[in-house]
Amino acid sequence: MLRRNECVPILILLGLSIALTFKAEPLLRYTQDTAKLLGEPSHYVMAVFAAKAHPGPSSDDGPALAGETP
Amino acid sequence: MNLMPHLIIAPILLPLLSAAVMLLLGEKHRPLKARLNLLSTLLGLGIAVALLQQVQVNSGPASIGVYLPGNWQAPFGIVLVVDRLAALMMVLTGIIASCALLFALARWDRAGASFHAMFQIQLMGLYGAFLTADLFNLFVFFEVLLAASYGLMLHGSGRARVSAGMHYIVINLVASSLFLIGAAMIYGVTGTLNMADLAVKIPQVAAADRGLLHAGAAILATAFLAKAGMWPLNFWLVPAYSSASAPVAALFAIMTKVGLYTVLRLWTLLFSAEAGASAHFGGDWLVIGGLATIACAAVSLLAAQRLERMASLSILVSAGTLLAAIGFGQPALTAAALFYLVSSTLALCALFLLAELIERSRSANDIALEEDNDALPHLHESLHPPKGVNLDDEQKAVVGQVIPWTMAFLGLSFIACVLLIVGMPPLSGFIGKLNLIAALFNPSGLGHGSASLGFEGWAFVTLLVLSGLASLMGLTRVASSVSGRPRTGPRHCCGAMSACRS
Repeated sequence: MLRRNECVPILILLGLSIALTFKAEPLLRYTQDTAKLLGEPSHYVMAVFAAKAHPGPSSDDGPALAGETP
Repeated sequence: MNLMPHLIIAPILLPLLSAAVMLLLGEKHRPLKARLNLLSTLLGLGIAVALLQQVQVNSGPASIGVYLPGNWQAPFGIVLVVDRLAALMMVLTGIIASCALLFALARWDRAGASFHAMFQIQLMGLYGAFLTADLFNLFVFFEVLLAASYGLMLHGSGRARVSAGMHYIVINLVASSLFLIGAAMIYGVTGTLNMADLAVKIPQVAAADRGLLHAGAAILATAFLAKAGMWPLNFWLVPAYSSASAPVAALFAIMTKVGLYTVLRLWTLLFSAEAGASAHFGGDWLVIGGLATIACAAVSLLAAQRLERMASLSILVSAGTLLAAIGFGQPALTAAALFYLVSSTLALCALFLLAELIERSRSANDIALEEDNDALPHLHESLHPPKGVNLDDEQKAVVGQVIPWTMAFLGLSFIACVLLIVGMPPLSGFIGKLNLIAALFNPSGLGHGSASLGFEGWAFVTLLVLSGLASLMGLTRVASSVSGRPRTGPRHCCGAMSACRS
């Protein structure tokens, strides 16, 4: 009637919830940092605008991009 | 060399690729597709966890990972951004998806065509919506995840599913057109759809255009709030979720959270304290809407008869709680809300899966109870659950000798689910709700003296407690009517339930 595959996910989910009960503090600290970051959108804006496009291979400033090309 | 920038796009490409392979394979090779799906889903979870770890290393702006897929500078090209919020949501999505898929592999994936491919496309839409950093791509990923969800919603077919599914499709098409109208209006006023660029430009919008901008934002928000399940835009949700097949409904538990994530992301970026005249635009509406959602869902919980329906209504309670908590716009409350989001999503996903098993065991009990014995040998193997489940396991070993194993499993899991959803002391649901209330009373942390709580604050606290009570009453009533019916064995289970209840 019940198959193993059907019980395992429920056990995993409830197990995670129970683990969350004992390990609530790390997650809370994480969400607090998240909320703090959300409260300061300038960080997000700065990060997005700070991302520079990689110059194409034909551009002549080859040595400058040696360190950062993927 | 740092691989992080390229890892950011992997959660989108991986499901796309595996869905393409599955579609190429066609309707044959179902076991192969199932394996591929599981592999890809687990890999996606792994990538999400890796991103979470990378995001966690630094703090401040350095923790935000940015990827330019088209190699164009930010306001002009497409941008993908992973920050703490996105990483958290992605890990949660990965966990929910893996569990829903494991459950589906037992029997549901055979109930219709192309389940695995749609599942992967759904994941692609979800991950993409969390990662994208501009409004138009958000629209694209919303459409991707909705297109897949239409198919998944109808998976398994049947009259109820088709009629609720049609309703679901129409509502979402209307919401999508509102999305487009809102995005177009915002573009008309500000000339950009990049979220970061919008955050820069909105304080500079001319006073004459501000009304138009707010109208656009409100139309956009209507679309997201309909998906997030805010009253009165949520009447589609309960029939749709409660008639969807169990693994699909469990996966959909994350879908209302996508709407919520989008509201949180856009609202904190576009209408932050730095947004000048538009600062905190619409916050009151979020709070009021959230409170109304909790109230209506709690009343409906008292009247609901089926477990699937209760689970759907609990999703609404959780959505209302989150919307109201976010609407206050206080970091402490948002942090508590995010914790509650993780805890309630896990519990609701489990409840959707359990609801199906309980419903099935009930109908099976009506026909023949002895089938339980056949099932026992296999099931004992799963008595060794993954790490972290020792609590349940211990109790089960004791109880399982007296009553059928399946009933013990279902009963104990159900009790755990109820405790999590109601927010009763031992489990994480309680921690989540307690944090919410504590953050309401002490917005700037403990020891700072309690702030005066306005009417909305008191209403929120009252509704949090009352909705917990309503869920407890509703769920225990349904539990006793479900487990009271079959003969001998289950009666013990019912006793265990009522013992735990008192």
